[in-house]
Amino acid sequence: MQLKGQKSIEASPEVCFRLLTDPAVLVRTMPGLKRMEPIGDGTYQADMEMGVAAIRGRYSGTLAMQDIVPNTSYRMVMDGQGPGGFVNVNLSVQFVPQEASCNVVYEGEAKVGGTVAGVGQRMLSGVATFIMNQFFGNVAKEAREVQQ
Amino acid sequence: MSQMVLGSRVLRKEDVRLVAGQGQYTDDIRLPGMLYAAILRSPHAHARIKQVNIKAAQDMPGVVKIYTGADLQGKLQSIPTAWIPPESDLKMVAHPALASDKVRYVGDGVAMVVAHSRSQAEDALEAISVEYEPLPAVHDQLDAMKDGAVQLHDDAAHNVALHWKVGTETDEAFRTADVVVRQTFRQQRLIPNPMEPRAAVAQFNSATGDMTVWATSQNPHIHRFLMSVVLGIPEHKLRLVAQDVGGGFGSKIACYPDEVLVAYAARDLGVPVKWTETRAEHFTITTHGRDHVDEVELAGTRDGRVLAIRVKAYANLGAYLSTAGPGVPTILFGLIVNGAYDIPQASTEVYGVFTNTTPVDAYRGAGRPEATFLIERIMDRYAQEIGMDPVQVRRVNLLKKEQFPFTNAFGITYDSGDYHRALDRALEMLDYAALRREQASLKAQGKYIGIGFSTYVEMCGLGPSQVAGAVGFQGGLWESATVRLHPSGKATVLTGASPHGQGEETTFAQIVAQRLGLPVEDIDIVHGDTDRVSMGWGTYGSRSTAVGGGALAQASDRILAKARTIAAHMLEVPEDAVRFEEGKFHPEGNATKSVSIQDVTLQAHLGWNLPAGLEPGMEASAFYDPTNFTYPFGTHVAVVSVDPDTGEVRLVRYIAVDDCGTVINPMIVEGQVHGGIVQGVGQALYEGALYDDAGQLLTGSFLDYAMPKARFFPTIEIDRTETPSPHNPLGVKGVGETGTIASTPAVVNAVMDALSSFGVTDLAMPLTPPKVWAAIQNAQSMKGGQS
Repeated sequence: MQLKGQKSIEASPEVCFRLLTDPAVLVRTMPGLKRMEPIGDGTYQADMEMGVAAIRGRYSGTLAMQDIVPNTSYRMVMDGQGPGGFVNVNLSVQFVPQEASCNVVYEGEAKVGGTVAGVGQRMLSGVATFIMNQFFGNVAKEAREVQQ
Repeated sequence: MSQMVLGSRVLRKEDVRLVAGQGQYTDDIRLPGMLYAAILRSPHAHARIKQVNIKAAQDMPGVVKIYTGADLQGKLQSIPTAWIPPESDLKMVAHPALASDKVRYVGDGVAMVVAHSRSQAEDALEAISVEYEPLPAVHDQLDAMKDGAVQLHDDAAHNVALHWKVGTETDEAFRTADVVVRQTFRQQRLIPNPMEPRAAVAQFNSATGDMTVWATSQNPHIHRFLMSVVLGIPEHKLRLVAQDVGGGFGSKIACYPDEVLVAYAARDLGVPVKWTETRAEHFTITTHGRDHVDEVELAGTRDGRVLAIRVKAYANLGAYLSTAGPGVPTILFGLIVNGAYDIPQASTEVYGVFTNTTPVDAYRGAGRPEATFLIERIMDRYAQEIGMDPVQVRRVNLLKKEQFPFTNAFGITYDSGDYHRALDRALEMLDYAALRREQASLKAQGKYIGIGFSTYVEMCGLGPSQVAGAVGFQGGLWESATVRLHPSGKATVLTGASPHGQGEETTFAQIVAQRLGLPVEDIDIVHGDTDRVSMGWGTYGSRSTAVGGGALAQASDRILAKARTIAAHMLEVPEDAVRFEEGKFHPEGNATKSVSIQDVTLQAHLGWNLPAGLEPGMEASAFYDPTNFTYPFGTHVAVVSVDPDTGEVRLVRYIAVDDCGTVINPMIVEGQVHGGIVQGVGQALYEGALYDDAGQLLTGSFLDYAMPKARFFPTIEIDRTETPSPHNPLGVKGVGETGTIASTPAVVNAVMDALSSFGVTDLAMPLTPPKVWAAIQNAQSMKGGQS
């Protein structure tokens, strides 16, 4: 499943980059992300709770930030396993400066396998878009709070 | 008690307990101390297992034991296939009950947790971590055969599991024919969905070594036979029970890893263990059906005479060979691709292919729907090609009454039939000429209807055991029956056929009632228990009444012969002067002096005064092996409307004229015909399993896989002709699969008839609105481009 989108956040690329690479902020803003513990090399042990259609459950695995170019871009790689199967996400995130804001552009793909792939796959990209919108909405709120 | 119990609409005896919730399904079994199993299944279609870590799961509440593939190595035999088609070079690849090195489809078992409750077992599954190394996966059989495709099994090059050819030389006919029609058909993968998912409970007595397994099985004795080999438990120590089974449609034929694992754990732990499939599991692990790509060629004359048919089929067998998997796309398909037509030359070539998908086995009709679909579709394509009405082209080629018994190009002999009569009756019910006029006038208004025919024949009543052996089925196909009359004259009847929803507790009672003059309510049918029934081969291939019924008739006749001897003795007349009517024996010409079969039975049990040399008791068994298959036939007609604006297909009328030989219970026959038609229409219009390129099943729930609903159907118009089978004692042929076999091509032919106005000649099933709409749009834009 392809993931692609962008969100304009009223903050500088520096602020956006800092927020989007801070585990504490990610746990607060990413829907379902419950825990991130660093295990070195920009990699974290992570727990997520997710539900799509009837398949709900806790996924645990790793979340890594790779190819980091400070304030410009990085790649987020997530591998999670749960009762409904597995979820792998590979997302490149770019921070494009605008006049008074930053355009956060993301592009990549998500792979799901097991039961979760067989139930409501048709709805999955809609669900993913919904989650990403929620996530960036939360990040934008954090950015406003940081700048107040 | 009427003499006419055979052929009457006796209400289903089994429904009294089933509708009152008093059935005994496998999941209803609760034994003291019973534990619950849950199985961890691969989320990958193809991957190497690097590591299975069960430590965290072992400490979870309620967990008793966890088994991995490594734990079972060398302790269980491979899950076997029971059909080895001759000269097919079948690759008998290993199928471990739990994978230890490699998983080959989404759903392949990796570990089993046994815990005190089902929820504890399922929770513990989450705590098992498996490290996989994902491999490329292939789900399509044509892709799997390509050079460079990923290999599933080391010993099956190009993933070819079998290659099988049958038939006559056809090249000459194709070289010289006026007309050759070629078409490739995809018969999509279907997911059988009986109301009851699978389940198994096992109990082991370590003192005696006796193992009892309750399981959802269509054929408990076959299950016993195969599980005995896999588990290493001799058959006299292994009892299989399948009392009530909530439908199977072929999906409960196979011996699966699950029931083997449960039995293994019950023996290992010394306590009963139960496993019940979830519906989500069912979609991924219980055998699928169909999944063919068929290249079909027909050679014929300009005036409608078919000279030859040639079929090359690519059958997807899934990741492993299921119990009957290799036999379905070969023997049950390839021998009857000429359908109901007199086609002098015919050949079939089949490739069975391994892919990273759920194993494929029988699904209602099993091979014969695929054969019927391609012949009925190519007949319509041929009719179009030569500009002939589809009914006329059928009239030219349908076998005639006087040609029976008829041996086709593959050497099978159709026992009896009057195909033209069934066609005539269907046309009469349809009012064909008037409907064609209506079609033309509707078209002038921009409305599209289509009429589709299927003049089918099928091969069922499986079957002569000698033939079973010759075609590589690793079992017999005869059937057993025991009729036991108790001193009171009530009867317990044991059958080796194992009904699971077909109503045979009623129809079988009718057979015995008719022959012995007993009330139907005095007869109980016992089935589905290997300790009570000595042997049997189960229910599939519309065999139960044709073969199991034959055994019942023979056993009943043996009872009657003995009863007559005793009755003559009691009546003090010679045996040949005794008449038997309505359950009573009387001397010829004197109906006032009589003894009932109940009186006779009591005397047989008492043994006080029997004819010299006659044994007491009143019980008879028969082992009936048929001399041929049976060949039900008929004509089905579908009338559909197609909305060109939305692509929606609506079934407007459906006519079924079937000939299943002698009818024992018309109500039950009609129920079978209705259900069969609905399932066949499901394939034509709604159902289809889909995998993505990673081998993930995308249609894993009722949200994603469309089952036919009652509201999709008009009242089905049914009639019958009756041509008794000449070779079985009852004249019956079988009716469990006719509807599924006949209806799919009838509906697709009807849709294509409606779409012919747009120049659309073929579309792959299911004919969903988006597909039909796109085809119409595409055809219209091409037309627009040309003008």
